[in-house]
Amino acid sequence: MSAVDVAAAPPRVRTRSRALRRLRRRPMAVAGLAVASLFVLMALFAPLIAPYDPAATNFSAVLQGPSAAHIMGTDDLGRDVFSRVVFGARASLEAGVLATLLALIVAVPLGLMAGYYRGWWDPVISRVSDVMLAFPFLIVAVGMAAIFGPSLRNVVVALGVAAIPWIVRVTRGEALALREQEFVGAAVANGAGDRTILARHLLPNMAGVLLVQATVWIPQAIIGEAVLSFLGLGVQPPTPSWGSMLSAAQPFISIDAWLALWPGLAIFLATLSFNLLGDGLRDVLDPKTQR
Amino acid sequence: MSGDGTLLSVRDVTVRFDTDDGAVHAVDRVSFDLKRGEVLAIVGESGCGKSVTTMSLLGLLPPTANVEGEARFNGGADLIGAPEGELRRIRGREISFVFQDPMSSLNPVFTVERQVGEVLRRHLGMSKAQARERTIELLDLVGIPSPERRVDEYPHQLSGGMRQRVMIAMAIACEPKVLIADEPTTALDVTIQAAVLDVLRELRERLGMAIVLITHDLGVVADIADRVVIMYAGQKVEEAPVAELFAHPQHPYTIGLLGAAPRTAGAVLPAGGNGNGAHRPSAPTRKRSRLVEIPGRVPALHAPPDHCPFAERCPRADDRSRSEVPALETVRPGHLVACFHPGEHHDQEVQPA
Repeated sequence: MSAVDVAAAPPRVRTRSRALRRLRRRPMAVAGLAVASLFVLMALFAPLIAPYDPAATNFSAVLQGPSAAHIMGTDDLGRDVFSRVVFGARASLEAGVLATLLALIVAVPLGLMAGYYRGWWDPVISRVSDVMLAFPFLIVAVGMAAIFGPSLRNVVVALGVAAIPWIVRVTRGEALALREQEFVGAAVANGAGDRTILARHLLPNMAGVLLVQATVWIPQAIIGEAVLSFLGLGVQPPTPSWGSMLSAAQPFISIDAWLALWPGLAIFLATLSFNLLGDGLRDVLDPKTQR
Repeated sequence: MSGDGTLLSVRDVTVRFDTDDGAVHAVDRVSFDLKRGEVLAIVGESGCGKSVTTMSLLGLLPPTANVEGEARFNGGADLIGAPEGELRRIRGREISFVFQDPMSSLNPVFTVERQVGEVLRRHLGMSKAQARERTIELLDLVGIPSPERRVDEYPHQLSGGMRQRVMIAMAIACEPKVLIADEPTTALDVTIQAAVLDVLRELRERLGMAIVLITHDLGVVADIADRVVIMYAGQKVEEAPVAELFAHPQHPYTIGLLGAAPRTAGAVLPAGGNGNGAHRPSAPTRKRSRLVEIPGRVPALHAPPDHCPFAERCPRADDRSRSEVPALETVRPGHLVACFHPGEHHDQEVQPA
C-alpha cells in the first residue's frame, strides 16, 4: 500500500488522463479506438465522404469491379458500393449506439434499485430479467417487425430490449458489491440519503464497468442490425445498410464476389474495432489491475 | 448521574440480530451518559458490542437488527425508532462518525474537496466555493500539510494517516456536538496513532466536542479519555472515571484487560494491546513478568444471559455467578461495576498455565 502512495505522489495526474495514458500503451486498443473513430466520422460526414448518391442507379455500369471511378465497384443497379458502405455506417452505428443507450437508460436504474434497495425490488427485477433472457432477440425482433413493420427504429428497440437483462444483471451485481463498501456506510453516517448514495457513490464507481458494457454491446448491436437487415426486417431500401447490402449481394456471389466482400469487411472491422476498444478499456478501468 | 450538562443519554439499549442461525443478542441493556466536551471511552474485546451499541443510536445497523431502549440527544426526542429523515438530519450534523478503516471509508472516485464538500453542502447549504474554502480550513485543522493542494487529490493519493484525517475532517465539517470515533487508530501505525489522537484532543478543546471513543487499546484510553465504559459480551460491566479505573479496577475482566496490556514503570503503553490477550513470550525473570492473558473467549450470544457472562472465564466465579446476572452497583464514588465479587486484588488464578 505504501509503495502505491509513493508512486502516486509526485505527478498529480487526474485519473481520467491516466486511464488514457495507460490505454495508449495497448496497441490493439489504440487500433480499435482509431478504427472505431474512423467509422464514427464516416457515419457523421457520410455526405461529404461519399463520392456518389448511395441511392443513385446507373444501369450502364452495373456489377463493375473496383476502378478509379468506383473504388469498390458498383452493384447490380449500378450504385456506387463505396458510397453505400459509407452511408451504411449510419444505420449500423445508429443501431449500435442507440440500442446500447436505450438499454443503459432502462437497465441501469433497474439494476441499481434491485441491487441497492433489495427488498421486493430485487426478486421482481431479477426474475423479469431472467424471463427476458429466455427470449432470443431474433424472435423478439421478428415479432416486432411483424407487428410494427420493419424499420430501423424497431431494430433499435428490439436490440435494446435484448441487451436490457444483461445490463440489469451487471448493474445489480455492481450495486450489491458497492453498497457494502465502507465508504457507503460512511456516507450514510454523514447523513446521505438514498438518492445521494445512488447518484454520487454507486453510479460513479460503476462508470468504468458500464463503459465497458457499452463497448461490448455496440458491436453486438451492429451485428444484430446487419442480421435483421439481411433478413429484410431492418432498414428498408433504398437506404443502404451493410446487412441489406450483403443480402442483395447474395445472388451475384459467383459473378461478382466483391459485392459481398465490402459490406462484410465493414461489419467485420466495425465490430472488431469496438471489441478491441472494449477489451482495452476493461483492462484499463478494472480496479483490480489498477495501480 | 445525569447532570444538566448531559448531551447524549442512552438508556437500556438492547440490540438483537435476527439471523438465519437464530437470534444473536449483541447488546444487552447498555446505558451511559455523555456530557458536553467529555471523552468517553468504550472498551472491550472484539465482538463485545461496542460498535453495535453506538451504531444503533443513529439507525446505522442493517435491517436485521432489532433495537430497543432509549437514546436522547440534547434532551430531544428518542433517537431509537425515529424516522429515517429525522436521523438523516442528525447524522453528520449533530452526531458524526469516524470509522476504523480509513483505506476504504472514502469514495475512490472523488477528490477530497467533493467528499468533504458534499457534507457541507448537504447540511449547511454552502455553495461550491464556500464548501471548498471551508474544506481547506478543515484539512488545516486536522493537521494536513498544504491543504490547498491536498484538497484536489483523490483518496489513493493519500497515505492511511492522511485519509483518517480526511475522515475526521469530514466528520467534524458541520461542527457536530458529538463525534463517535470507532477505533480510529487501529488501522494506523503508532506514530500516526499519536498524531490522530492529538487531533481529537485538540478538537475537543477548540470546538468543545464530546467524543465517544471506541477502542480496545488501553493506552489510547489512558491518553485521552475522561471516563471509561468497559463492555463484555454486550453488557456494560464497569464504568468509572479514567484515573479511578486505572487505579482501582473492580471487575475481574477489567483487571484482566489491564494485565494484558504491556506496561513500563507502571504506565500502560499504547502498543497494539488488542485486549484479546496480547502476550509476548518473554523469559520469566524477576524484573520482566509475562503479560497476563484472559483465558477463553467471548461467548456466543445466542440467548440473553441467565448468569454472569464472564463466569466461564472468571477466577472469582462461584455458584451465584453461574446462576444469576449481577446488576450494576456503585462501589466507589462514580464507579459502577457489575460483579458479585468486585475488588482490585489481583487474581493469582488468572495466571496462564
